[in-house]
Amino acid sequence: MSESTTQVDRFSAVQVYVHFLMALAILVLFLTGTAITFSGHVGWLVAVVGYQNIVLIHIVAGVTLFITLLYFIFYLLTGLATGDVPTAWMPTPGTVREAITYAKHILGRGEEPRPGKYTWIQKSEMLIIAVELTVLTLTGLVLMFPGLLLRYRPSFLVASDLHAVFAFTLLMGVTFHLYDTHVLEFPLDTSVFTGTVSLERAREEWAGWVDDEGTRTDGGETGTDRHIQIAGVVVVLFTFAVIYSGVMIDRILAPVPGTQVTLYLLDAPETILEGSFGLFWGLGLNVAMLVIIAGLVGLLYGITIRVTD
Amino acid sequence: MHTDHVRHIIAAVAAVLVAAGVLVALNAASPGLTTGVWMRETLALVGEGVSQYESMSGNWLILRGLLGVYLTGLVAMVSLLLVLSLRTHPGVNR
Repeated sequence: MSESTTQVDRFSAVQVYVHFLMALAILVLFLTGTAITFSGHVGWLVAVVGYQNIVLIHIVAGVTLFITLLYFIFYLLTGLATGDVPTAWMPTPGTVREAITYAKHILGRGEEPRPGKYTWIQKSEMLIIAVELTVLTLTGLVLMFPGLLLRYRPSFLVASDLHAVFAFTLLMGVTFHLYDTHVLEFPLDTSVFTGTVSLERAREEWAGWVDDEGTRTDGGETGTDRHIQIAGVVVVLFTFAVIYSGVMIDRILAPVPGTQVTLYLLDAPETILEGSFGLFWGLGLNVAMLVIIAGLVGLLYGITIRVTD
Repeated sequence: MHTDHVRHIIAAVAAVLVAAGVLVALNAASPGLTTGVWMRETLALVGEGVSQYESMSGNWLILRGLLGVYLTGLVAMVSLLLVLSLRTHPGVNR
């Protein structure tokens, strides 16, 4: 059997289904959350679904995410009793050394690093997502009950700010993740659904995880679609620019979050986000919505492969 | 029963109970879910009392600054990694 067809187990069934539920909830939260925050720019979704329904769907998806996270935490905790706790994702001093090796390699001063099951970038992604989901869950629970805002004002307004900023930061992180899983592994990296990867790919990307006997090929067609990769980078960078500038104007620079009353340094934000330059955010936020919808389609297609396999 | 099945059951029951407990407690503290419009009105209502912010403008500014730095730092880092991927990944895998 060739190395390109030999499969290596990478994800357990629990990881596959928890990833699916989390991703589904998060993508729905992004769709509805963008419509709640920037309803003027993605008015088509508000018109189709209705503002009240969007808020309700946002709450249902949020509670689904909350329960899924709790389930995974309790599942891991029960693993302490059986001695089955995954540790490969945890950062170690070796992770820092790998990042330094990566930087040297990029600068042309050393060999490519040999990561374990997860690269230093993947470990960083997981840690950042864990922190952001914790903040988003806590602030989201508070925002579900707005009476708390009135009772504990103005402190609880902080919850609104944190929720929006961390949500859109996570959206940018997820966009980067989608670039990894839909562009670099075109058109879809199915490993998180099937739970397996080819031995050749494992040796290429996580050489320290599997036995390395010098094989450095991937088995697929590599390097033949440079234009797809460049187009992907351009779309992701454009999405970053739109979301970053939108959140900076609507949240960071606006003293009263969401109300868009005034800015410390600029004029009223609605004159910027919805003024002469509004086309930039109108176009960009809809590109972001398309990215989210593409992620949803990929997710549903992937889980279909798993279920029907 | 298989050990793994027991773990699934314990985790699922615990997750639902804890989530229900948190939601019931929050609802008891402040009955009623947001409807979105209510949220915007609440924010606007709180926002009208600008004097409340003046008393905490220092902390407010620090929080904004920290959020801005976090947002900017993360975007810069991820953008850099994205551009570097053009060098580390010479094309896409099919």
